[in-house]
Amino acid sequence: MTTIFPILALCALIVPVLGRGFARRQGSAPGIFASPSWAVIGIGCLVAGLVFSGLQLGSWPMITVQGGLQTLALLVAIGWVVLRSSERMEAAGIILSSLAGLLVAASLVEPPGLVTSGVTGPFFGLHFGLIFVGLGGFAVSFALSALFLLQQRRLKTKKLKGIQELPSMEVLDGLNFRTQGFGFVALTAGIAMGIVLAVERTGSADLGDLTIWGSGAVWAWYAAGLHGRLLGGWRGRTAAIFGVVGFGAVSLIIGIAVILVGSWHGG
Amino acid sequence: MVGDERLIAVGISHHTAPLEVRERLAMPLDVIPGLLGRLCADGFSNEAVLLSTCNRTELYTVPGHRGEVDRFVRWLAEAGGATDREISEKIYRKSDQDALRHIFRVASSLDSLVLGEPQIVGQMKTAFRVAAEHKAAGPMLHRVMNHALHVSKRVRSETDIAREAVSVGRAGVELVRQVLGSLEGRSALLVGAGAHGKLVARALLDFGLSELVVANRTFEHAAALAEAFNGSAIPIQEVERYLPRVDVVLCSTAAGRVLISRDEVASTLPQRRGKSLVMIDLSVPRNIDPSVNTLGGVYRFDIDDLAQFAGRGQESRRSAAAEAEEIVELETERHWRQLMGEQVNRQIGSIVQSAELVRKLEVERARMAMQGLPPEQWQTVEAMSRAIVKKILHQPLRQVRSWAEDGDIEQATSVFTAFGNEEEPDA
Repeated sequence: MTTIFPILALCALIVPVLGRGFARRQGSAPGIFASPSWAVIGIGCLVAGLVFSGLQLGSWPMITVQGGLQTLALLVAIGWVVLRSSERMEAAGIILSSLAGLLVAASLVEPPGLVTSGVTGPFFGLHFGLIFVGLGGFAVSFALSALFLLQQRRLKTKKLKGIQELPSMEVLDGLNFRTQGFGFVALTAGIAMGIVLAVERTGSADLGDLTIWGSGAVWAWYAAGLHGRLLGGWRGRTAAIFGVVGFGAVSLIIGIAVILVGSWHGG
Repeated sequence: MVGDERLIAVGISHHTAPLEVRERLAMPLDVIPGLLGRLCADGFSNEAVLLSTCNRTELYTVPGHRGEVDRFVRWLAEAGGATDREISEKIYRKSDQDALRHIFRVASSLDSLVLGEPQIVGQMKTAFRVAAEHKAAGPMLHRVMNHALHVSKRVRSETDIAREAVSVGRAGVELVRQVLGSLEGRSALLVGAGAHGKLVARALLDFGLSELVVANRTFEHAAALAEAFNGSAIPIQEVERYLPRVDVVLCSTAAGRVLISRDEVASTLPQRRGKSLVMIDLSVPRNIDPSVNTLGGVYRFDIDDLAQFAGRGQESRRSAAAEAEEIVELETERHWRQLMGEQVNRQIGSIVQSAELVRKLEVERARMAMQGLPPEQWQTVEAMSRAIVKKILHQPLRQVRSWAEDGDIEQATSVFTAFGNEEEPDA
């Protein structure tokens, strides 16, 4: 039962991506594969899986690596649904859907992890929740940034065929700023709460593990990007590069945490 | 006439050459009369019309005694100041019925970058008016151009080719919106008063553009245009000062050179603080340095880009285009036969006149030899000579008319050659 819901979610997230690719190759309309129902089904399966996992653990599901990855996938899928309210966001949906599918797949590959030691209670749940909401925001920002850079390249190289299916550069840039800002605020709150909890438990904010220093680095990166945007006019391409590189760093940190450590805070 | 062609069309278009080549052959309207005048005076051409638009430069001509296709190709390349072989190879050559078909296709917008676009009709009318005003277009081209406009009208009314055509103006709006999103609160600078620039400016205003500033070499023209668009006018020297402030720059002038350089645009970027700038250059030759496109946040488009973007609905117009092609084919056949029939009739008239001249000379010679013949007998001789000429000519000319009616113009004209009566210039 712990894997059935994520597997169903994975199918719901990947089917529209593969279906669209197939339809495009056949030169036909995406039809049912363009339906928003897939995202809703994916979200439903992920929520069900996380609730089931939380009940089994008797704690917040995101405190394990598997639960964390699935929580992040859930937030990315929600980001996809939210973005659909803006015009011409199908391409962003494909990136986000693939990303969410990848996160779910990674959670299924990873063997069941240990519950991070001594982290129980609502504040730890809030700490993890805020961090993952922040990362979800950065994931959405990554998709928007990638779309921005892709579209900019096409406009500059005059490859204009089909470009009207993409949202305008200004819309992408504006949404990118908002999702980066949203992610940054959530990450800041999550880190602040983590520091308070660490000091309370150990007397020091430095737990000496990768995720703490990695989170600090990611925070500094996005802080620099947002500062530059607000005061230095770092918009458009510069902001998009910040979005892509920032989420690349997030992925690297999560990857190392998953592969080498197997836990968010050193088990 | 050197060759056997009656109608020649030579030119360069978006089908054969990119914009950077086409702009070398683009000819401003004010130099066209001089070029046509020289062409006709040199004996190359009896009639000529020169069409120069953003997408094509074409010469339609009725060749004179020194005229042949390759000469017109060289002339066109040289008229545009381009003598290199690369350009000559990009100039297409069409003659007689092919030339007529080409002119009809151009007028019907079947040869346009944006299938079904309406601007070409006005451009052809202007080209013909200029040629007619300067006595370069004679009866043959007059008929050809009138037929072309008739065919264009028929194609547009009987097919859906123009129904979904995205205008250049709308394409400009879409491209601007692809970069800037909503046009509300945005401002644009229109440099020049070219037709395409005005179209895009009008479309931008229709889609919510908040402010339009117009600059022109003649300030009064800028002021008049600004008033029509409910905008404001500035002298052309002020353009650089406005670059940091506006979101869109439209250039549509006949200046024939770069008016806005990369350095000028680059120097405004710090003041823009990352705000995107869309620059649309609708002039041929171009007025905005193409390398501005390499600057961050600057998006430069030209007429080819707009056409490419506007052409996205082309697929749905393909079936309409097939119907239009059928109409053009039928009309080409019909009008070519009609044109040649008229030409055959003129030549028949010419043969009859020549025969009458010979008859009169011979009758006069006989009168000198037989001075004692009474007048009533001379009348009989006169009548007899007329009857002989008429009867001799009757059968061959009837056959010529029949060939001409059947469309076998080659056969018909071979008879004139046999009579030693080749076509005389129309004009």
